[in-house]
Amino acid sequence: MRRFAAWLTLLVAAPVAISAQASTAEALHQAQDLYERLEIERAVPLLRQVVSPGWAFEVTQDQRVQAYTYLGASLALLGARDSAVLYFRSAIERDAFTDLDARQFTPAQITLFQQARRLTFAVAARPVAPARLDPRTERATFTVVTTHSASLRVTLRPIADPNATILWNAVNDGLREVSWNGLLADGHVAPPGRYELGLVARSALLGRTDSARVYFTVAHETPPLEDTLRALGPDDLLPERVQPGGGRADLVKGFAVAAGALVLSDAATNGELGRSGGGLAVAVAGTAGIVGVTALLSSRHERALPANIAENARRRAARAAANADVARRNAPKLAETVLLLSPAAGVGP
Amino acid sequence: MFTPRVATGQLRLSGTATASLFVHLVDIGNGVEESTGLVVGAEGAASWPSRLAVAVRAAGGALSTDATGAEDRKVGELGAQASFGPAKWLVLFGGARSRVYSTAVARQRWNTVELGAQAHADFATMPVRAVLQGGIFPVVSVHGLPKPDVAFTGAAGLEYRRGSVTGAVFYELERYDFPDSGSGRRLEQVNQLTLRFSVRLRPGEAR
Repeated sequence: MRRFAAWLTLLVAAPVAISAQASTAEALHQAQDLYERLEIERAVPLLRQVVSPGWAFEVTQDQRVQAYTYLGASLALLGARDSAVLYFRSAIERDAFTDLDARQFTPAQITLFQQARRLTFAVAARPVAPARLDPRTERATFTVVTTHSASLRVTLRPIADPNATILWNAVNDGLREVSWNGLLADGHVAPPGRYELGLVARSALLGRTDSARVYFTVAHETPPLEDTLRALGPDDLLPERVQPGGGRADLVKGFAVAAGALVLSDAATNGELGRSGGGLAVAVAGTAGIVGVTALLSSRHERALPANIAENARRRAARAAANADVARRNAPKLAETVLLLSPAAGVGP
Repeated sequence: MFTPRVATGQLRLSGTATASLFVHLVDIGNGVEESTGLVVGAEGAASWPSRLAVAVRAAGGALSTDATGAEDRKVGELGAQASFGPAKWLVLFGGARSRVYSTAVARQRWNTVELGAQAHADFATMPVRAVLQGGIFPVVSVHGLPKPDVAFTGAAGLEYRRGSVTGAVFYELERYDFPDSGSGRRLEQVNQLTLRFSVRLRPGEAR
């Protein structure tokens, strides 16, 4: 019963949601038709309804910008210049990339739109488009905009790194495509991770400052690399100093070997064959016992173990040499690294 | 005895020379017959970072006896072994070996399969490693003899490392008790005191 109720809710609610989006789109479409038929007086109320807080349907950002733009254009045709500029500004404030196509709008409308751009200051960047970038031969392009003349600084940095790479730092007016070669400020290929494209601009006309951020991720497409050896841990190295307690443990180890040899030669052998091999076991057991006692006596005072130090140095050197070889073999593969750029969530003001 | 080494680095190769004081005891119902002699051998091993190691070995020597009616003999053997270290202190191994005892008039071949484990611990105060090892022979094939009731091996010893060279001394035991096939029980046992000298042929990192 509960499942049936859920289905019923979905069936009833779905057309409403679809209708809500369709209603705004239909209203805009209808207003645009009226505008193009020069029935401006009918288009303006419809557009005002769409941007009013009382509009009952969902309005996307793009739809709202479109409504403001056509409102500005309509009012410009009606001679309401100040109102036209006001609505153009509303459109520009919401989307700094807003522009009028000279083939579709009159010079007077475009003049008022340019006036609105000069009165409004905003900076923005388009979301990063998915791209495949070979740093050796290709460049990625970021599209940014300032609504009018401004000093613009475009930087790029890994999220976790405060050091930014400057991509553009000069006066800009309008749209600009900023290219990036895939390298960071230190000259290395950008490592995989999340990045921020940051924009800071200061208006040359209004003295105001605006900023924007766009996030994207960088992944590497690299031929399979050979792994380097992991760092040597305590288990991989010998103790370099004798600890007083270590001698007792060594004594136990020596006696364990001695006991093992004696048990093997006695309890594990077949008594019917005699004890002829027992002397061999005694030789090993004696050796192990002497080594254990020697270890105990030599560890009464803390001291360095030159043999272990030398052995550890050899192991470290062997690891370093092996890793150097691995790095040398990996270098040509790393040079073939291709960057995969993709947009990420989190566009900030 | 094989003592495989494991490595954290790349493929590591090692060569080993062995010398064993070999005491062979046999009782086929007519009293214990003891043969002794020196057996020398050589071994080549390769180990990988995955703690996997393989080794092949060849050894041979002459055994002499004072037993009445018994003849001096020669012994030779070929073997291969694979090992894996699931823990820093433990190595599991399995291998196959063919050993031949020959006299002027007879020749006896022993084909065996061995499974075992080796536990080892490094000394804290000197570059010495204590080693204890045990194994069984699930397969013992000797022409004319039934499958033994008891067949196992064990070893205890020490290894001393110095740079790329490792010296070792081990006591090793092999015991085989064959069932009574009508003419009495056959009992065999091999005791060895083995000295080993291994050289790392390709630098790597010991673990």
